[in-house]
Amino acid sequence: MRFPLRVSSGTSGYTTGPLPGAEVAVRRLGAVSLAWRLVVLVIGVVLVARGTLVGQEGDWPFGPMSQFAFRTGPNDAIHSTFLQARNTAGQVIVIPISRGQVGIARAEIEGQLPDIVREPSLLGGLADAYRRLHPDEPALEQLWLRDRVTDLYKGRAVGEHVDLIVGWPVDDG
Amino acid sequence: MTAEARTAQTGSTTRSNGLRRVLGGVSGGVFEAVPQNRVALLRVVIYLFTICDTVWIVNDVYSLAAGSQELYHPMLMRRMFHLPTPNHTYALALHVVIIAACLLCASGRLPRALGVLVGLVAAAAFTDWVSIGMSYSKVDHDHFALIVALWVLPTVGVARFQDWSRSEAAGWALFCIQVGCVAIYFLSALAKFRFGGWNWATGSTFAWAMTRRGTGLGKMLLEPPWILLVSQFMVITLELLTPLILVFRGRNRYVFVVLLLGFHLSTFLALTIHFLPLVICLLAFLPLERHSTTKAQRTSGGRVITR
Repeated sequence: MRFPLRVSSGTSGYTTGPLPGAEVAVRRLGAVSLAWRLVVLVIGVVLVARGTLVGQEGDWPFGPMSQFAFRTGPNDAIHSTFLQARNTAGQVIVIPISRGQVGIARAEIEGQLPDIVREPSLLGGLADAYRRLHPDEPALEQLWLRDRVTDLYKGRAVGEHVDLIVGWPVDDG
Repeated sequence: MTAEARTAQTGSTTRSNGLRRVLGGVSGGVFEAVPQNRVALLRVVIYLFTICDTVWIVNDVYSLAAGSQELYHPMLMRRMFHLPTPNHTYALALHVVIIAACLLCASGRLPRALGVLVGLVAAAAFTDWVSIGMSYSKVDHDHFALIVALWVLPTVGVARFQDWSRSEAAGWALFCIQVGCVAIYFLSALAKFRFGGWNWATGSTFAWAMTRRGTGLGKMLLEPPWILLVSQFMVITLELLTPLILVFRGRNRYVFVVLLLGFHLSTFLALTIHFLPLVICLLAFLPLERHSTTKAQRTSGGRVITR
């Protein structure tokens, strides 16, 4: 159904909507249509609320809305993993861990830290990905996965140091 | 006229049967009749954005499917529906289906039954796609409202850009998308209480985020610490208040939307976290058709008469 545009009145220029006085058709729903929509809505709300109150991440899309839901205490330490490497040109460089740099995001590496410490050769995959993503750069021959630790006191950074998590192929620190 | 969209009647319809009367109470909010062309416009944006999403946001499905499957921990949903362990061919087929179905739905040219079918295919395929993206490591919740939108939009049926008639089916679909948005915000606050504790807001979680991935601006906010402390209280308060946006109408509602957009803009500037799939769905709170009228009037030449 097509309605004529409303005629503007006064000085403000344009107004919106259908012609005043013209009856705007309202398409109502039948009882069955109303009922199933209401049931679907209630089920959806219950599922998503359940996800956050008692659910697990695997319940996605009805899992907990847990991004940034953890609490870092004001006197805790903040850990941040980064990659240091020596390339075939002999330069020691810092490489941010990201999909663009080494094919994997930092959060994913951090999730796999125990595996990497047990099996440092997994770092070789990062060197391979770096060579694939940076064909014109010198390849990486030695990698060190390091942890930058920022100590907080009353919410303020009071110190920072860097620990070695693991090196590959030589785990020398 | 279809069985669902019963007759075009004017506002003061008497509700004849008993069930309707019972449901009448909630129908004010849940089934508020909204202009069909609002849905027509929102639909174009949502479906085109969905395609962009597969290219720029959840764009790691091919590399995940090609990589080591030892890291594949399928979501409950994937196991329930026996969705396969993804490989390159599966990802490619899924991508083609999403793009084709979304383009068809965005065109708004499909007849009703086919439109519903293609819309549901788009919803299922995109849900499958995103669930693959979430099945390897970190699970994000920024796609909830968008996925809701894809599942409910097909129920509106045919909606044309010039169709000013109001429909309860359109109202329900928009309401579901709105609830999807509010669920993300409000439940994020509850999740902070569940996982971080009642004292989440007094911690240094934002300092953790700024230290690890803050932009230049984000790092500036670290000092003095009360800036981020106050921000934490503001964010959790904003999140807890979001259900109000479902009740608000007119100016209050739009101001609330602007506040939320401001929140997303700040997290983007400070942390490069954008939550775009949710931001797009906030359009469900806005009277999109007004813009289209103004534009239509501008281009319709003699149609606009000024006294």
